[in-house]
Amino acid sequence: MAGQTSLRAVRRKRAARWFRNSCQANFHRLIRRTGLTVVLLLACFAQPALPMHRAEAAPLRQATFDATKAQRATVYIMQTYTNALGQAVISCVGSGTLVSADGLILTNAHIAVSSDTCRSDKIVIGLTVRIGEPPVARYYAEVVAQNVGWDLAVLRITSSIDGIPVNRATLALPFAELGDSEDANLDDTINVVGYVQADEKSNGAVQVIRATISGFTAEARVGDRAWIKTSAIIPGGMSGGGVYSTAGTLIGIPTVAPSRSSGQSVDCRRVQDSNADGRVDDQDTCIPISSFVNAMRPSRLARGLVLAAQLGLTPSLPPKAQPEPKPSSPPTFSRLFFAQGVNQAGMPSSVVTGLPSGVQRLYLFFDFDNMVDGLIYELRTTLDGIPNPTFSLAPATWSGGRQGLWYIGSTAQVWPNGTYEFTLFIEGARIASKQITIGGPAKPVPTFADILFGILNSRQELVSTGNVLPVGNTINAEFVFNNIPPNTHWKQEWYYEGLKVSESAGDWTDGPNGKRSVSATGSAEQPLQPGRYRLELRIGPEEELAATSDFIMAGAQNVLKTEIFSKLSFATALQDNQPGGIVGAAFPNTLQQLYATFDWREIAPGTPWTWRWTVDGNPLFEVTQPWTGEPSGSTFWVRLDSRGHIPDGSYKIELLVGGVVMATATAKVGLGQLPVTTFGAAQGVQLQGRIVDAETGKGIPGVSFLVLKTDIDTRDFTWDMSQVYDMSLTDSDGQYSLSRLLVRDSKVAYSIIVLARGYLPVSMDGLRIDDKTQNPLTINVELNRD
Amino acid sequence: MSFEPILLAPQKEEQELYPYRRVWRTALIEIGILLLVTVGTVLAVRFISPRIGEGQRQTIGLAYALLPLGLWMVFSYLGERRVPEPRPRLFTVAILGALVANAVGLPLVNRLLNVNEWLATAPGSSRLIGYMLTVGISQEFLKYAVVRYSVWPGAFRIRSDGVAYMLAAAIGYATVVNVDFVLNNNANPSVYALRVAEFTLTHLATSTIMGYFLAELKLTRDTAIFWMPGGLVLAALLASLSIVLRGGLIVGGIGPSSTGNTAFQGLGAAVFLVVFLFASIYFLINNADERAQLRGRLDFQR
Amino acid sequence: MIEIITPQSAELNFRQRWASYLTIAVAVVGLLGGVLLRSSIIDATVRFENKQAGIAVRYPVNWLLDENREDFVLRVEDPAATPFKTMLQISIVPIGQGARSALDILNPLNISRATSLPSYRTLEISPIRLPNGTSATQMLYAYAASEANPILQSIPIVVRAIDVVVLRSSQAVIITYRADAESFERNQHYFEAFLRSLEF
Repeated sequence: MAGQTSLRAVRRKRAARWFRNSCQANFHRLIRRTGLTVVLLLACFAQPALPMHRAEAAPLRQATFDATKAQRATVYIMQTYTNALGQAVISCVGSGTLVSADGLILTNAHIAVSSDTCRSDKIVIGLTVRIGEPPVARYYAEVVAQNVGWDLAVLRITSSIDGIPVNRATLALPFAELGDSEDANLDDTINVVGYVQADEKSNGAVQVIRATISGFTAEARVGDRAWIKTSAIIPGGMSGGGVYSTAGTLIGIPTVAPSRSSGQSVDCRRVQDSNADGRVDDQDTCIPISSFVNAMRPSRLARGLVLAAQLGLTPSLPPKAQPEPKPSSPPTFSRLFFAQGVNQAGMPSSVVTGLPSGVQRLYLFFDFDNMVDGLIYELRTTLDGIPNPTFSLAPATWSGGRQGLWYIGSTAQVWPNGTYEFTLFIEGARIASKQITIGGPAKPVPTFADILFGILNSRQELVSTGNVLPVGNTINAEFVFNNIPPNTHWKQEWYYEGLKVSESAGDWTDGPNGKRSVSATGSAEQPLQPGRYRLELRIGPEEELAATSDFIMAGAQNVLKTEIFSKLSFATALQDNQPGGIVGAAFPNTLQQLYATFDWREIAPGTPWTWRWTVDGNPLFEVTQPWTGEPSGSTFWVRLDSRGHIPDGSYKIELLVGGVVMATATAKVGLGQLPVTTFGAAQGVQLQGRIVDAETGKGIPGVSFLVLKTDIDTRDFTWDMSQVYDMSLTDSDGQYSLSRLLVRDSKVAYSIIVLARGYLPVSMDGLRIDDKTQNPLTINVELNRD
Repeated sequence: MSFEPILLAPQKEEQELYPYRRVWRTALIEIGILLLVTVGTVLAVRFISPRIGEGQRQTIGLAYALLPLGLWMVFSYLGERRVPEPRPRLFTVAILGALVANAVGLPLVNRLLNVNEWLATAPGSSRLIGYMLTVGISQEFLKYAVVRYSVWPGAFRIRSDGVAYMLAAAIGYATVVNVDFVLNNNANPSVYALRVAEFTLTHLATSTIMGYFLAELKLTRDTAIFWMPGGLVLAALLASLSIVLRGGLIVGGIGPSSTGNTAFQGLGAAVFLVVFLFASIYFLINNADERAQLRGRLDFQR
Repeated sequence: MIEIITPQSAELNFRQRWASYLTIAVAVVGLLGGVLLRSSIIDATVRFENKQAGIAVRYPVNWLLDENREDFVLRVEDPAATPFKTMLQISIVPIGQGARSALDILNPLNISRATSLPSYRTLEISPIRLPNGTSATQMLYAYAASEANPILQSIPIVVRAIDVVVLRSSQAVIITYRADAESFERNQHYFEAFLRSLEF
């Protein structure tokens, strides 16, 4: 028994040993077989709740025209009024462009300003929410700046469509950056963006039409690039929209003349029972249908308006004692002639009747009388009998005043050879026309050119004072002559306020080329009066007009200059018609008004004068108007008004007559410099994208997309808003869009956290934005559920 | 005189026929087919991009959700019928697993504990412990309870029975979870295929742990009483680990061209888990059987 | 040797019974632990103190904190909430000597909100007592929250909210809770905990 027991024990020990070894061997085999170790599991277990992923490099692209961005920045404008039943009736529609994130819209004045044709008490703004779909009415807006003559206006969004006032500080609308229209050249590619009327072909969504610049139209008081022309056919609904360069900046505003009733039938659509009589007929409001557009206002003209709207500034003048009476005679254009150049005062360099091949500049000058601002005028040009839109001017709104000398021209492209006929229209009625033939070799023809007016110095030399002379009894002028054969008959005619007051004729004896002086003197009984004068030089037996120039006599001589305005100064108030409040050149930034006051002498009523405000060298306002005050006096004022306070800046006032600056002064408000953010255009990169469920592919609404400040990593984030650069929530389709732009600086990096209940959070460090990052930057995210 | 046949060659020893269904073999076949179908579906959707209507998607999804059950029916359940010693009430266990999932498991996790609301965004360690104490504990206990209170201990003859019955319960449970996913989500077939495969593999893997311990409790005399609850904790922990690991692997990250194509990594994690646990439990069962054989031999020799 | 067990032999021994009991116990304890963990995660808070305003309060962990703005002292939002970010806020409004009740605060508040919040409706104004015993006035209201960014297309969300106004000397403390209507009651425990922890 004992032996058996010990044997059992031995066998048990052996079995146990075998078992142990077997187990160990199998265990080690198991570990080897599986390969992966617990370390991997622990590593996975230790993974943080916010997984970190390297940022992928953003694709590199240069700034170009972004059609999507431009389409989003283009708004649909509807003028509406409320009828007797309280229903909103749409009276006029058009396009506009957002030019600031807080809701400034640039458009045509005729689209936004209420008129007989476009009756309105509210302006509704529609936005393109989804590209390819019609606009959605989103906001109300009001006009904050306008120039009827240029047909430009700036609107500001005031409230959402449900009447809730908008908070402009948080409004982050897509906007277009104003570019420099002066950089545009002939044959440049442009993109015109605007809304077209919905029909069987179009659902009314915003359109982009690629076109080419076919020319530039010059016009008086604006300059050589008063209009940008294109040969593309642009639907009239796009008027007020945007013209973009290939760099993606806004360089023009397509402009078509407002449809006028003026006794003529207007193309329009009747769509609503506006008078609530149960039917839609002739008694109901008709939405005008604009014709096609081929002319665009350059963005340069809009800069001042936009800046003024951004700063909340409007100009004021003393109210007129009596309203200007309407002319009793119909408006006319007369004395049409051509010139190849225009001087600073807007006067022709010389008159031409024919031109050789290769001409690039040509201007049509004409006198206008009995014109009223707001009338529609038009220039139609034919070349050998065929209409030529490039050298025509589409119907435009007159803003040149009642009477004077005007010009329309074309520069920067060669005029093809042929016979041109230029016909002027007022409100669709033909008024005057003139022909000129271009072609053939240059011929030496007798010419008079470059009439200058001035004051004689002690050496009897003419010192030019531009086209403004001080009141005196002698007018001195000189001109250049070329190719004048001896004994050529020539004549000088002097006019005052449109009436001929003197003339003198004779045979030429001064040689073929050179300069000659002429003068005119008043008599003791009839001394020369302040006002508008004209000198015409005629040549040849038929006394053809060879040169002409208008000039203004005003003010008094001060040494060798004309002094019209004096004591130009600034004040914060007027007391007893004298500058009051704070008077000087430096003011605090708590001002609501800034007066510029000045004395004046010897200005005839009706004399056109110009006042111009600029801030930090940027144009604000420039208005030319006829003088309506007394001939001489003191403390005339022009004023800057502000909605709140006049912002910090250097405000300069310039007073011009005949295109010559007669007086200028600068006032500093606050720091004397505009805040940097005033011109905060698209300096950074827009971040947007879509967040979807990784399994269903559908957008997730309400997801938080946080971008942290550049010095904060996701590890350092303590869920404090002060560490957040910007945050966006996704909409019902999972789309998000940050309102703050990301700064282009490759030295700093942003961190992103994406978070939604029920989904695994996603985060990222190291997003860098450099000069080559595309704008907008689209980052799409897929969220996974646990 | 008697004439007996003279044997010219020794009679062959009769080889003992294994009377039970080979659980591991059939499980691996089912898993292999499931993986093949899943990978094939994902690749087909990615490269062919078939157009499937929304109604059709759910139908296809339901087919995927029922696929593991179908494979189990073919290979395990029907396979059981072909062996000399079939396991009784295997299908009953599967049904009970499904019923318990629908009646208790899903409502407990989704409505009462509402894990979707707070666990996805919880910090790392809290996620692991949280899933362990909610989803892990509940689903592993429920599957254990189905087997424990239906066929255990009577039907447990060999250790593999634990695995077989727990796999049955797991298939039933996973089928309901898969159907619930399909009915509450409108995704494309590849998403359904991946999710179904991941859920099923995870359930199969973790169930083997409780199956082993149930078998040990029945068949090994000196099993410590803490092994069973310990096994539950271990199974819950591994279930939780699989969820957390999957979450870490499938997150797609952020980038301009983010596509989130990391779903395969989730499947990879599930495959790893099932391979690891199958191998481990297989090893443990084999060892236990060998120990039992040795003990029996020693007793015999005594 | 393979032991063949017949189904009839279901008698459990001590170890088997107690193993089962322990397993059940572990499951129950584990689930209870899960419930407690859930509560601890959901109800975890962080202390906020603004000595200048004389306010101390605890707000939920991982909520986005915004402080010291013109119109409020403290605002916290749940960044993970969808579609509307559940919000708790404390603002302090100066009141004059002539203010008799919280209505002197609530009336102008209602009027200004009606012009800035679409579909704003006041549902109820009633007196309440805060957990610390202070008397206060509670106003329930609702409005439709919509996305301010016009490019994003969001369906307006019905938001329910509570303002609790407490008058103290020359100030009125307004404690606000806002959540989308569907999750308003589910998230109200955050507001109640917020109120309980409030010290001023």
